[in-house]
Amino acid sequence: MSYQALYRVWRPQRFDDVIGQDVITTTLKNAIVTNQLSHAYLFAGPRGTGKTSAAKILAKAINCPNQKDGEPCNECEICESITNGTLNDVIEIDAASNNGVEEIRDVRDKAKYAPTQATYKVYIIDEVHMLSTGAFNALLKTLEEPPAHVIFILATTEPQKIPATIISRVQRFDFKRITANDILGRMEFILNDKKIDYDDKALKVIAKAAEGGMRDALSILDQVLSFGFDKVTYENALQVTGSVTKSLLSKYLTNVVNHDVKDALSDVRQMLESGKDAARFVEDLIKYCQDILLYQQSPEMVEESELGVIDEEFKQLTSIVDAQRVYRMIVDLNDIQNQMRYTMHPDVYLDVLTVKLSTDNQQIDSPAPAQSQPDFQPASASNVDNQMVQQLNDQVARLQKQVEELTKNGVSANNGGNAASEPARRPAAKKPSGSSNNARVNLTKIYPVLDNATRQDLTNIQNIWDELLSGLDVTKRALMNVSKPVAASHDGVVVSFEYPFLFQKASTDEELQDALGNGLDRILSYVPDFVFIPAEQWPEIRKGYIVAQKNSGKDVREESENSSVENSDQNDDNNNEKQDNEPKIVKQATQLFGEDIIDVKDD
Amino acid sequence: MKVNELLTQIKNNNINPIYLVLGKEDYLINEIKKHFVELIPKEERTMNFASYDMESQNIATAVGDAESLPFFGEKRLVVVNNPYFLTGERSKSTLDHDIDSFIEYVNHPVDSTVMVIMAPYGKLDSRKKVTKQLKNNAEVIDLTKLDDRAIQSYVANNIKSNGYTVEGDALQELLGRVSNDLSSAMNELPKLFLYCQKDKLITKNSIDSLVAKSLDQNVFDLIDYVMKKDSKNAIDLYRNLIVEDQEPLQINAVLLSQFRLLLQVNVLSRKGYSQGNIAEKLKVHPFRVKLAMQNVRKYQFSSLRDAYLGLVDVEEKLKSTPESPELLFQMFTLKFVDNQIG
Repeated sequence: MSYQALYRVWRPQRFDDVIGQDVITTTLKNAIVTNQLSHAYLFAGPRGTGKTSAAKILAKAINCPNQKDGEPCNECEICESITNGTLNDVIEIDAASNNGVEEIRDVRDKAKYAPTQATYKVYIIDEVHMLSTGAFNALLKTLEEPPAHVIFILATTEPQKIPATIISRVQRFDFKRITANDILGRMEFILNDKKIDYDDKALKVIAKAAEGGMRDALSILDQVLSFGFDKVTYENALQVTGSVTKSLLSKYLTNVVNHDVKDALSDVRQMLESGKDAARFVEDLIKYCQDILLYQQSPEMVEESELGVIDEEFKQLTSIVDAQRVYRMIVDLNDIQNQMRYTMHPDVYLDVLTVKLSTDNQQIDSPAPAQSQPDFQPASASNVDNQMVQQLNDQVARLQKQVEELTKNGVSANNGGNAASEPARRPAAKKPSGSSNNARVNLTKIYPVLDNATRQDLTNIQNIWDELLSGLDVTKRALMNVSKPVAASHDGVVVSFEYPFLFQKASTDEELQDALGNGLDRILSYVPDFVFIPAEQWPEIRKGYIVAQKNSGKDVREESENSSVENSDQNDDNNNEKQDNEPKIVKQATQLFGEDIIDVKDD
Repeated sequence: MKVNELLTQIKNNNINPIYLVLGKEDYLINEIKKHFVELIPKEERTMNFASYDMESQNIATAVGDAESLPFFGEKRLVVVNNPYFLTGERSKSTLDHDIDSFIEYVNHPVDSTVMVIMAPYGKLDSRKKVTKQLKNNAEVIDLTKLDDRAIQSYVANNIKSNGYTVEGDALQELLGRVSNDLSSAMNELPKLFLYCQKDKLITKNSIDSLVAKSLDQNVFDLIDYVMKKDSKNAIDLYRNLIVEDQEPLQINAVLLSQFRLLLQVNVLSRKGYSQGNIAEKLKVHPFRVKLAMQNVRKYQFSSLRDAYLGLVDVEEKLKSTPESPELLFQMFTLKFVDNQIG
C-alpha cells in the first residue's frame, strides 16, 4: 500500500476522537440522540480544527443504522461508504471550485429527490465563503425551506464573509483553535500507537509551530519522521520548522547584553555557517526580545505558549536585562530588518547589528569593523571607547540632575524661610487691615496664597468661575455675583468683593464656603482655601505684601514674576516686565554656582 | 397591536380579514405565520392556504385567490410577502403590479378570507394611496419598535416554557453577544438547549463556547484587557482574532474608533454633558455612548490617551512597514503596560 499522510490516516472517525471541541461534539451528539437536528449547520473555525471531520462524522451518525449515543458505528456499509466518499447521498462540494450559480442550482434541483440508500441526504459544502453572491442567493431559498430529508453542512474558515441572511438560517458552531497541549496529547497518542521513539521537546516544538491546527501539526510530524528515519528528535524538529535553536539565541543575546562583541560576532558566524537565514534570525531575535519583555510582565503567558520549555538562560537573561534596553534593541532590530530587504549581503548587516546592539549606543560608527575576522579586535577597542564616552555622558547627566535638584531644594528652603519670617512682616501689613471697616481681612491666610500664586492657577479659577457660580443656589449666587478671583495658588484663592458689606456677609457664611468648596471639588477635583477680601482693599494688600517681602530682605522680584497677582493698573504691568529680566540672570547664576555661593543684592 | 394580543386573538378565533405585519424580526414573523397557518385545518392546507412573493408574482394573483371562496372549509389564508410597492423603494423586478385591484380588495375584503401582508421593512411610504388605504383597513402589527426589555422578557419566557433555567447573568451575556437581536437570540437557543440538556440549566460557560462573538464584542474585550493592563489575555485574544482571519487593519480601526469614543466621552462627561447630549454632539448611536459611559469611569484620561496614541502609531506602522501585525500589537501592549508610550 502506498504511504498515506498521517493526517489522513488519523482523521477522526468518531465525535469522541475530535480533539478540543468537546462542547460542539456534545451538542451534536445530543441533537442526534434526541432527534432534534437542524436542517442546516455552519461550521466555522481556523484550518485544521476539525470542521470537515465533524461534518463527515455527523453525516455518518445520522445515517448509521447502528448509531449509539450519537456516535456512528464505522462498521456498517453506510458508514464505510461515507468514509470512502462513495455514498451517493452524502455529497461533498468544494465551493472554492464550484462557486457559480449554476452549481448551486444543480444542488437545489437534486435536493428534491429522496435519498437512495441513507435516511438523510447530506450536502457538505466546504469553503462556503468562496461562493459568489448569486450562488449565495440561490442557496438561500433552499436553506429557508429545504425538503425534510436534506441536511446542509456548510464549512468555512471565514464566517465573516458569509451573508447575514445565510447565517440567520443555520445553526452556527465556532470551532476553537486546538490548544498546544491537546495537539501534544494527540501526537503522543499517534506515535505511541505507531511505536515510534520521540523526544518530548521535539513534539513541543511541533505543537507550537502548528499554531492550533491539528493538520499542520501532523504534516510537520510527517516531515520530521521522513527526515529522521522514523525517529522524532529535537534537532530534526527544529530543522523542519526552521526555528533557530533557542539556546543559540540566548547565548547570542547574553553576549550582546554583556557587551561581549567578539563572542557575539562568532555566534553570528556560527549561525550563518550552519545555513540559517539572516532575515529569519533577526525575526527570531525580535520574537525573543518580546518574549523577554513579556516574561518580565507576565511569566505565565510565556510559559504557556512555550509549553513550559523555558531554559535557565532565558530566565537569567530576563532578570539581568533592563526593559528600556530591550525596547532600544527592538527598534534597532526593526531598522536592520527593513534595511536587510534591500541588500545582497545580509551578513554584513548582521555584523553591524551585533556591534551596535552590544555597544548599546544609538549611533553606528561604521560598518567597517564587521568585515572580517581580524577586525574584531579594533571593533571591541572602539567599543571600549564608546563605553567610556557613554559612561562619561551618564556621569554628566547625573551631575546635571543633582545640580537641578539642589537648586530646587534651595528655593523651597527659601520659601520655608518666608513662612518663618511672616510674623515679622505682619506688623508692616497691619495698616491696611486696620483701615478696613469692621470686617477683618485675614492676612495670614492671604500671604501664603500670594507666595505660591501662579498665573495659571488664576486663569484656571477665572475660567471656571462662572460655572462654579451657576452651581450655587440663588441666594448664594446673588451674593457671589459681585465677586471675582484676583489671585490663586494651587491651594488657595483670593476672592475680592465689590462691596464691603457683601464681603462681610460672605466671610461669615460658612455654608457658602462649603458650597464653593464642593463646587470646586466637582469641577477641578481639588479644593483650594478661600480667602475673601473687599475689592477696595486689594491694591493696598498687594502693595503691603510686596513691601513686606522687600522689608524682610527676600528676593521679591522672582516672587512677583511667578506670582500672578492681578494688576489693576498699567503701571504695575510695566514694572513687572522690567523686573522680568533680572530674575533670569539670578536663576542662571544659581544654576551655575549653586544656591550657597550666590548672594542676591537688590540695588 | 402587540404580538401577544394578536396571538390570543387568533387563539380565540376572533379574526380580522386583513393584517399588516410591519418589521424585520424574522423570528416573530415566523411565529405569526405559524399561528395563522394553524387556523386552517391540516387537510385543507393544500387548497385553502397560499403564500405569494411579490418580487416574483403579481399582486393580482393573490387578490384573485383571496376573492374566491374557501374550498370545503371555513377560512382561506392568503399570505403576501415582500410587498415592496408599499415602500418608497424601487425594486429590480419588472413586475407591473395591479395596485388598483388590490386597493379595491382592501376596501371590500371577503369575510371568509384572511389576508396577511408581511412587510419586512423599517418604514412604509405613507404618502402612497395604497399604503394609506391599507393602514386604514387592516389590523397593523408593528414589530419595528421592540425595546430591549421586551426582547429580554421574550427570550426569558421562551427559555422558561422549554423547561430550562438560566444561570445568573448568562441571559445578559447571550443578549449581548447577539447584539440584542431577537431573531438571532432565538436562533442560538436550540443549540444551548441541546448542550445543556442534562441539567436543564443554561450556564455562562455554555454560552461562551456556543455563541459566537462579533468582532465588535471581541474588541470590547480587547480594550478591557488592554486598559486593565492584562497583557497576557490581550495578546492572546489578538492572536485568536488574527488566526480567525480578521484583517489586522480592521481590528486596529475598530480599536481606534472605540478608544476615540472613550476619550471623547471622557472629556465631554467631565465638562458636564449628559449621555444624550454627548450622543448628539458626537453624532454616534446613543447605545454606544451608553456603553462607553459605563466603561469610561473605570479608565483614566491619561492612559486612554496613551493607548490611543500607541494605536495610531501601530496603524502607521501597519501601513508603512512590513512588520507583522501581531508583533506590532504585542509591542504596543507591552509598552502600554510599561507606561512607555508618549
